[in-house]
Amino acid sequence: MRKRTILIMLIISLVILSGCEIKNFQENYTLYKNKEENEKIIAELEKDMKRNNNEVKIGFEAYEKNKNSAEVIEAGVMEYINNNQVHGYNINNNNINNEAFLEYNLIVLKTHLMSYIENHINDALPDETAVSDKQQAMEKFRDELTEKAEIMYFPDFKSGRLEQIIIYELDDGLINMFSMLWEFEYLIDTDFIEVQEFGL
Amino acid sequence: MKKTILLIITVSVLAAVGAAIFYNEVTSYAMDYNLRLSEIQNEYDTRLIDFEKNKSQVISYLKEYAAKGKSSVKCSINDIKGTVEEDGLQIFKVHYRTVDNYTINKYIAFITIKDGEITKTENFKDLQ
Repeated sequence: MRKRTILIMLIISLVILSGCEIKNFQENYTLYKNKEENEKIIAELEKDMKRNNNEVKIGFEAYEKNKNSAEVIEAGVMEYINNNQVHGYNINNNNINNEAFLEYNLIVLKTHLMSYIENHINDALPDETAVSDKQQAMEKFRDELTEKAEIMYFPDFKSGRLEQIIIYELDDGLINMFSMLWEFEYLIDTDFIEVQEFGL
Repeated sequence: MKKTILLIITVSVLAAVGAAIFYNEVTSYAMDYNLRLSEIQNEYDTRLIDFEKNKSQVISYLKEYAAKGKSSVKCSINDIKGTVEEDGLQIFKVHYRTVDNYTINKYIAFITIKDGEITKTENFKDLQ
């Protein structure tokens, strides 16, 4: 009786296993039957993969080139922001094909920053503070702000453009954003935006 | 009689060997095909595809976020750009505006995505 039960169970297991195996085999056989079609699918996929990878490569190469050009000018912009000069940004980078808006926006950025610093220090220090002390405090405060400056790169892979932004976080959630737009390693636009933190 | 049995056995053995060879061929072909398929799929550079996926996620999140559940608020995305992904981290900068009862406001949002999930959002109002 026991032997019979074991035998029946064994047979049932075998039937189930063969059923699964047959199903597997059927799927494999369908693939085997459509060999030519499968080769076409593989060839098509390979072609698509190469095209896709080439597109990605081109996009990232353009990004790297734009970023290299952006980094060249970055030091000059940072230096200008960190010195005491308010006007007359000296552009000596041959990549810039339109200097006027860069200079204009840089001066706007600098003016905003300086006026913010001036107001901040004037509010913080008593009126009788010596001018030299105020200037020293302003420089210290400016250095504190600009040290925290963050530079970010935002590529647009479709257009091949790169946006480079320099962000200064001021107090009270105020932020100064200076952006430079690069295309084919040339600076094509600049902008200055003042924003305020706004939680929804 | 013996000959017939021997013949049957021989035929059966040959049929079984033939079936085994065929089974093996079919199975190996299927395995090889699936392997080649997955190899090609693994060779795909998915950086731009992932970028677009993250971008769509940011857009839908922001539209919902900006509307604050109010049907009267319309949100339009003016510009969206993302940094290049590093260590699974990507930051999107979105310039968008909302229109609520003829009031138009311009905003800039910074949205951080890590491994396909939004982990940080910062929102700023354009003061100009």
